[in-house]
Amino acid sequence: MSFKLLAKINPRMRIPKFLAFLSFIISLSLSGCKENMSEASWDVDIIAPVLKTTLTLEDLERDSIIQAGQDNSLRVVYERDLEELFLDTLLTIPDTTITNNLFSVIPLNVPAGQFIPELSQETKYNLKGAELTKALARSGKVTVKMTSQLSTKLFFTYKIPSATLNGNVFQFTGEIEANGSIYEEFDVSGYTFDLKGLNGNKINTLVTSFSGQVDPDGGSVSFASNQTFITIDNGFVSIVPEYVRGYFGNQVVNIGPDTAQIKFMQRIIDGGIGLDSATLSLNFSNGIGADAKARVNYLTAVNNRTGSTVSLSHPVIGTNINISRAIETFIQSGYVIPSEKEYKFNNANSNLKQLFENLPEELHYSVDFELNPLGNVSTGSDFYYHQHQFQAKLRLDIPLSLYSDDLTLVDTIDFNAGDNTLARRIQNGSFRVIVDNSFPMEAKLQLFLMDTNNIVLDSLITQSVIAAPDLDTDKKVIAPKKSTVIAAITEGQSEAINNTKKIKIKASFTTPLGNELIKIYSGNKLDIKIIADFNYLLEQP
Amino acid sequence: MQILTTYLNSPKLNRYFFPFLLLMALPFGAMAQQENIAFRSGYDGQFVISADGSFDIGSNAITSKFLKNFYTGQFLDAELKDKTFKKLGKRNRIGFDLNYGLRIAQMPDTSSAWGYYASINNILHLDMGFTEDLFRLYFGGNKQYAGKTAELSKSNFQLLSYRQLKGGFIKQGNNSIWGLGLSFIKGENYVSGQMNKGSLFTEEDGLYIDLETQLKAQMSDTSNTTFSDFVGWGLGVDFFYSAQLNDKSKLNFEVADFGFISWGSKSLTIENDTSLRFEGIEVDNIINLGDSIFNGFTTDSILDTLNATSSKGAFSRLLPGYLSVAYQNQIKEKIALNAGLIYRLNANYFPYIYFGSDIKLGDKVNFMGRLSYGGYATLGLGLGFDFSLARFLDLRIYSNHVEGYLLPGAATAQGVAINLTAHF
Repeated sequence: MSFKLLAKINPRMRIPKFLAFLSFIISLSLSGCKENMSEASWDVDIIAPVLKTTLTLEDLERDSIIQAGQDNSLRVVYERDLEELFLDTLLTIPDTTITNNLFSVIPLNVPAGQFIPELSQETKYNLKGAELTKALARSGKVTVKMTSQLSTKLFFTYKIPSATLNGNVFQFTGEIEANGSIYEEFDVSGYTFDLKGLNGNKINTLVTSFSGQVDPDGGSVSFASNQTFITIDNGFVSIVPEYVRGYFGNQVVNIGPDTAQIKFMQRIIDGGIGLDSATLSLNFSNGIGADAKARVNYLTAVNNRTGSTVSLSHPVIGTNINISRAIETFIQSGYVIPSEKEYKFNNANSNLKQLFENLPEELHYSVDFELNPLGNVSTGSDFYYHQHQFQAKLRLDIPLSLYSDDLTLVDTIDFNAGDNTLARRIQNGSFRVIVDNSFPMEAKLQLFLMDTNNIVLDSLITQSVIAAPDLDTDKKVIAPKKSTVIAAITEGQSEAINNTKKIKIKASFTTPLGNELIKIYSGNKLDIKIIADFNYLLEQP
Repeated sequence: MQILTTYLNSPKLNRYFFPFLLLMALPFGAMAQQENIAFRSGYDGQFVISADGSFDIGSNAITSKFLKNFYTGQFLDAELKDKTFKKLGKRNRIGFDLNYGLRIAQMPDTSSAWGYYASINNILHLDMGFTEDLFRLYFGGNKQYAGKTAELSKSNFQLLSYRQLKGGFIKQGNNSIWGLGLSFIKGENYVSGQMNKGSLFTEEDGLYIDLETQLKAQMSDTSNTTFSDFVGWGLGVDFFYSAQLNDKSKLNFEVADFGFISWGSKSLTIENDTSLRFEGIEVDNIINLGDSIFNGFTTDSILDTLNATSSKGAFSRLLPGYLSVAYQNQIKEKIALNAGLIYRLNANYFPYIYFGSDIKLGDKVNFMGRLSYGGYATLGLGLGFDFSLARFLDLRIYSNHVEGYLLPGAATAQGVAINLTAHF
């Protein structure tokens, strides 16, 4: 190329042909080296540890419901507060806005600077059957919107005489432009609201008042009889009561029929288990000054895989649970003696164990709850303190003393090796998974590679066994047992790994003594090491 | 660690540093050095303009075919690697030189006269000394070392490129000629690695790997890469002496590029001194393993594991200069025999000895032949020609290692040099 160029510049220049050829070779050698330097590749045989980890039952369960007992044996302990199932909608004051119109019953002509005398009004709130006489706000806001139909500016004072804080009545002053409006929000935390109205004989009734002065620098205004001159929207927003008194009404809540999904159980696709026992405690503590009644109509465990159902049987199922009101030592004293009840479900009085042995994927249930089932027996003296709630606690305790018969679980984890050069460059070989098993059971493991549509692309491990360790006479593990599981990667599988977006893990567990129960202890674990042993394609960086 | 990661992700390191660590092979040759113009006869009293270009690549073990496939980005198959593995000794070397430049000289014409010379040169040099295990490990993997220890100690490499402006004088004596020169050097790039102590033991079943390294790597500033950027500077000294022993024989002695480059304050030094057992990445919960089996290895995690530290600061390094001694005897009118020894400083170089002859094939063509041993290669065959293209124009083409072209699968070196000289 360079000699052709020279020849064009000076056609008379005579360059021997072999020199031109030699130069061409040299220039190719020099330039070619640099440009292609990063593209060489070769394969290497690598054997190296990749990962090591320990798997315990606590790792499997994210909500820390596995606990160790005094003898270090493990149990599933599940606790949950249930009161929100019953009372969330019963004892709340909804956000409410009520509009009041101010007018004079007779025609008036008001000169500039004239005072408008205080006009008091009662506003009654609908509180879903509750008849309250007093409320102390723990937090919340009062909103006020005033709209004037006057043709001149108005100076005003707005009060809520029945709302007091440390003896001071809630009030604020302001001015509204002619035919204008204003909007204000006020924090009413700590205010006590007397809801008995102007004469002290009503319920849910708030008293407000308005007074004003026509702008002295404006003109006179006149309006006809019954003509609204000010519209006031009173609102309560996000009120959380600290204390409430009155009659809370007869309120009924029906929970269900409904279904609770048990996602962990949905991973079980085969096999079965046997348990030693299962205990369920249900505790009620009523800190509210109102009677309550609850009834569990039914609780049924459904295994869709096998089609079997087990309905919980216990004397309390289908019968009323009456929970008496709490006792208030003195009105608004804060001293409350709650009413408490406890129910236990165990092997002796229920079929709870069989219910869980059914490996339920769903729980079907129906529960009724009623507040003040006997009506206003307190004659308006129901009470509620924020710090004394209605509490219902559930505690489930299942010792992990069990047998497992080919209990098979399936789980799927996300995986993306498509962009990873390490994965792309594996040509063939295997991952050796070395497991030291101290769980008193045998496990069989399979791994499937899947794409984004859950289509199985290939299988990495085909039914490999992690052997169960030997047990002593107390059915305790004598020593961990080592097993090696091979995940072979053939040349064709490299492509499948690159396209894998999910890995499906299928694992089945079998205890070694048939139907004999075996305890699982906190020291039981799988020590896992993964060794890579493969042919790997390297490229010059 | 951030700064370290930045450097380690730099194109320069990706190209040169990791290859060294794992055992890369880039080349070097035996005789990139051009013959001193003062040693050539026939230019007395003339003004000389000369253009040079040369490259040499050589190793005591790595075959030319292997290097060619490596350079040209081809797959290095098992057969090719096995042939090279068999040639490896306990300690091995490889080197590469690529030089080109322009020279002018006013040659002295009479005894006691003075002359001068000047040149500009662009020089790329790379050399590496490595153990057999390091090479096998990098190109074959560690499975072959299951249950054994791969010895990596005393392996090192350096990559160096610089531009050089050289000037000096030439003094003609009664039966001798000698000269002294000084060069100013603009450093372009420097990367080096030195593993003073290193070994890797692979447990027989791969359960763990014991790694012991005492490593030092240095590199010049990578942020300044344009022609006008100054990342290093240096000085070099040349000295040459040629004595006419009698009518037929003469002795040449030369020291070239004896000097240093000082690399600037933004240069990086990475050091580690670690002895560790690797049993795999520890994963707290295998349920959350995800794709960490493939993604768990990052540059930072590896450096943390190796306990490497980095610092910025200036450092100086010696140039891979030349020492040469040559003897020539004109045994017949058209035949001269020559022999010599070349050594390079600080460059993993084995003393290069040669024996050869120059034969006049006519008025305008000279043939040069040479047998050699050493340098970066082993046994070498050199061939070359001098052409008198015109009364004022000479061309020299030669190679110290043609065996790499003739037997690429067995030979371990190749190179070519070209010199065009105009004299008036």
